[in-house]
Amino acid sequence: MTSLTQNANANSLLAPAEMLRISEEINRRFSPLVSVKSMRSAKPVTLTSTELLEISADISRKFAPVLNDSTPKVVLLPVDPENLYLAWHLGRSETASTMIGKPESKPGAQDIVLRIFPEPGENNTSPSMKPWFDVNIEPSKNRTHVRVPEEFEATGYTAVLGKRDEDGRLTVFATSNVAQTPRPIGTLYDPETGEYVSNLTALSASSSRRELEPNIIRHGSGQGAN
Amino acid sequence: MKNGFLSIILHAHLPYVRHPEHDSFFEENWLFEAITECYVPLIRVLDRLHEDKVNYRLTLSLSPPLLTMLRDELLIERYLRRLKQQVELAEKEIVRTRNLPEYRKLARLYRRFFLNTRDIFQSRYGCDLLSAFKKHHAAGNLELITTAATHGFLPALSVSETAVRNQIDIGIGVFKSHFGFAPTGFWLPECAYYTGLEILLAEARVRYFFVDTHAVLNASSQARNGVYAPLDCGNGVLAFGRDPDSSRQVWSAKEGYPGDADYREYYSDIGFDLDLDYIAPYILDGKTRVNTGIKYHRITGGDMPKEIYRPEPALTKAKQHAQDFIEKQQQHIKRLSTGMDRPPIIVAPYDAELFGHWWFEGPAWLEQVLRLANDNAYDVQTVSCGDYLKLNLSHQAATPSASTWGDEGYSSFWINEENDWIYPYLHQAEEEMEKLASDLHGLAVNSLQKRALNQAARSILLAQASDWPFIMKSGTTRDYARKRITSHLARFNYLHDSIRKNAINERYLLALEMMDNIFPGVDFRDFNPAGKPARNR
Repeated sequence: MTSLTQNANANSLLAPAEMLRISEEINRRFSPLVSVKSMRSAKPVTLTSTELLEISADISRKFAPVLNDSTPKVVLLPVDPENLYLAWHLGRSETASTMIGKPESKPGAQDIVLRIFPEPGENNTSPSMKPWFDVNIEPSKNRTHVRVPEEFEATGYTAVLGKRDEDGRLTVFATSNVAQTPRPIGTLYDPETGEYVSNLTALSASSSRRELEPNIIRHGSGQGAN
Repeated sequence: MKNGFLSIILHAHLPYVRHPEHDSFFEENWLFEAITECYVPLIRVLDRLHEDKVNYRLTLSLSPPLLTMLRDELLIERYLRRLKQQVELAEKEIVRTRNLPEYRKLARLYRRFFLNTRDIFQSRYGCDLLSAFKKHHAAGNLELITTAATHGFLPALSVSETAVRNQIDIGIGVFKSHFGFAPTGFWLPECAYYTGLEILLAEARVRYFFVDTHAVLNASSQARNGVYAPLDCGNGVLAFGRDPDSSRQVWSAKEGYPGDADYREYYSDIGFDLDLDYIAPYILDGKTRVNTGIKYHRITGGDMPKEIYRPEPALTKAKQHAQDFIEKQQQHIKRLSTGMDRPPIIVAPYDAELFGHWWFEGPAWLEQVLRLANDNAYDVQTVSCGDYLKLNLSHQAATPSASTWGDEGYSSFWINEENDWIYPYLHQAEEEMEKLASDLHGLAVNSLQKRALNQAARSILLAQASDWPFIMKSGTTRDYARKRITSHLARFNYLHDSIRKNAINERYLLALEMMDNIFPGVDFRDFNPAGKPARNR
């Protein structure tokens, strides 16, 4: 009896249209994935090139890549010994609160920053230095390239995305992967001469690989935008 | 035994360019040009060396997209159609140049060249060039290796170990499905190495890979023998470093052989040079000028007007350059061997498409290099790096430095302001695919769902190709690269959405399977980070 009473109460609280919407929403989002029997019909033999083109265009139009910004994230990739690539998104709530708070902030306060930490390694920073450096970012952007200050050059880095207060303290939104950077230019042993020499020479020689544009795909302009 | 070794590696790769949704498609010509100008000429060389019983060793890396395309019925049919057109055009040229004897001689040469190509492709190898490579492998002259599934730029994918593992394992799986054995070596796309990659290579039972010069020279400890002996990455996987000198001799536009004035000029093609009305039937859709493969001029040099191409002096020059190359390697080996505790190995990797396409005389040069190395007069022995492993030497333990063979030696060609927008999308798609595979761990899926899940995996892999950021940076067919990457991501999004909502449209799925028909053996469960890492072991 109790349940009937509850159902009666529920019916009086929700309009039929609302119940239908909720029912459809639940069906759409929570239908069991694996227990539903295959909807597969007899496999069509083939599709024409026109049909393929139409389907391809339809999918491209309706499912164009969009970045999911529901949760904050930051990714770090090393580009070379001195440069890092960072990509991030703040997450919806952080973006909103940041944008609301921004006009009232003092310059330099409440900034969204990437705080970059050199990983412990052979070339650690000196004890007198701060063990990180900050890169201010614009909330409207989602990636940047950062040149590592000379004194911070290390063998690896991590980045933290967060909001910095006036005291420099960081409210952390996301932490990146650890990125190992290439080793800095050093010296090499030349077995021909038995001497150690700068390997800058070898590096410049090896970088000639692309001089000839030696790949078949480097020429012409095509119908790529079909 | 000779005092030192020369290991020549040709890396053959093209992105997956197959468009059944169009009757003809410009980018498919990349494959057709490469077959006619690079792969068939290479096979012609290997066949001749085999007939002449020349003892040589050469390494050929064949990428999974290329392996797949070379056995694709649609592309083969289209290639034959194109070859037929080229024969027809050459015949038309013989008539057109009847009052220009030197041009007419070349037109006849092209006609013979195209007919001979067709003969090798169709009659000798039954439209299956992989069978030719397999034959030379079986004969003991050719070491075959492969690379990542879609030639993904692994450092940029490395935020997900699963992504890199799949690129490696699926690549090896494709190779095995075509050749029936696992490769010993692995070509890192763009020679791009990062610390720790050797662990995944070891898991895949790879014994060696290649890095650029500075990767060895900046190794974790001083490389005692420079790039002339491999490094053991600490887990038994060896890294061979590229020799800068032999690279420069061939790659460099200024100092390299291919820039010689006697060689054929790549950029002089009748597809661009002749009247549109005349050439229309042989270019794209009768409107867009493209290369036809018929080129009448030589490089000539300087700002001089381009002179007529003369095949005989060009061939003589190729032989001279081959001799010069071998002599230089011999001198190098002689100097190296006095200071080393083991026979030096000179590692000389090149893009296979350089030979014949960009450098028309490249195959002739290569043939002569291999013939001369076989000659006892030269103290150089060609080997593969797989052969070198069989010497059972102990190798210096050190890990290479992160590096690529691209401009400036690191990742800047693939991660820069022209193309870096792609990585958040690629990482997100990979993450979603891994989440999907993880959510389904231990659960049964029906056949339609399985097809959709596997197709989603194909879309991810195709989006990850290193070619797209490369093209965006080099700026040649930038729109196509952008279109390809966004299409594959959209296809993934569509499939992901359909699977999550359990609303898979079979007609749409079939269309995607028809368009992106690579990796028939892909298994979406390999994208589960906690799942069994590889099927090909």
